[in-house]
Amino acid sequence: MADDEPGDRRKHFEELTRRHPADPDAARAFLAARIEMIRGDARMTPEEKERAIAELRERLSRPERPDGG
Amino acid sequence: MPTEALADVNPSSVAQGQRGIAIERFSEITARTPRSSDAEAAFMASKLHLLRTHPVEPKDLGRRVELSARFRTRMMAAEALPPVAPTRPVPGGVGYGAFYKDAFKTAFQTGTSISWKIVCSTPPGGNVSDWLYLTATNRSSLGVEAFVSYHGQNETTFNVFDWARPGDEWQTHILFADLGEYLSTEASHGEDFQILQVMNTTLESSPGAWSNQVHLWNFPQSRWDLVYQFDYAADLAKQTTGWVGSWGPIVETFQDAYSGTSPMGALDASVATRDAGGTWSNWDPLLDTQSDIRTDNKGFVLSFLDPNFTWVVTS
Repeated sequence: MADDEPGDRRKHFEELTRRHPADPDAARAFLAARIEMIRGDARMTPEEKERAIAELRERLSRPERPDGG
Repeated sequence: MPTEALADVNPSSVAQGQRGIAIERFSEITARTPRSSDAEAAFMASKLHLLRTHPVEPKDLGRRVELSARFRTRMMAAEALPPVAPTRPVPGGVGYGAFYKDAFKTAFQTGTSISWKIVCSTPPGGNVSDWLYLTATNRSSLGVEAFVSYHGQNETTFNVFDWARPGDEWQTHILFADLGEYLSTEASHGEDFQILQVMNTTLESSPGAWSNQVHLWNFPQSRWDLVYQFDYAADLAKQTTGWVGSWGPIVETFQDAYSGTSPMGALDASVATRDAGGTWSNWDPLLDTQSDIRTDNKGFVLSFLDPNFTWVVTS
């Protein structure tokens, strides 16, 4: 499990990630959760929320739309 | 209730001794208006949620559990909820944490970085049965989140989610069992906490070329280890526009209410800023002049806060 140089563990971490990949649902849940974070952000205007949610929905729409929206 | 149904009810009629007529009219209107069992259930459920998540001192947690059970019994007796009302996971809440103020979020030119010690007890304890994140951004809109993820009690991981890689954001997923040299214990406010020290940086490496980098502090070697890097084309406008990048260290929730969780939080969260000439500032603690605390009433109770760079919550 070679590293590029001392202090550079990128290859090591890539290999560990390949060994135990993240649940595919996790990434979609991550993005869907951000939509709810936006909805609950008291500092944002409705227009800002709408714009930010649209951007996240675009990301979510790539594989599928697990947020039901 | 339809508003037109109330149009002919003059408030003065109540004051003129015609209270009985007004009551009759309201009774008629109520009888004509179909009741929404969903709305009633939601109303009652929201009250139960408030009760469950109202911040209380640890010594009063037992009392809250007792009151919640009594309230639920009352709701079921009133048929406000079906006998078994599953608590639907509510993703995307903020159990506790700091959000950058608008001016501070965009106050960098060619780079921004956050370093913090994630207080990450394992297992999370309490009623954690879904995902729960301990995460932060470094203010940049195309930066990464380098974060601890709990999934129930048995899976705790370190992850990198890269906002500069649409459709391929999730890049790193490391079991805590493989993070031995990066986990340590640190004392704060008289208590010992397990910590993972993370540095999350976004910088312009050359004009129009940006890089996201994640380092972890290697305790045995006493050095920062680079564990992730991604280079991409962008500009400052893209790095400072939008909502992504607005949160500092937060506990991000996926359940309606938490109770009994072990300590989670942030120690010594510090931010560095790179100016137009490429010079980094010193590390400065994240202050309350630069950030606001957000808490969504999910049941987390503050153990201590040094505004806003050090804090720990339990539930």
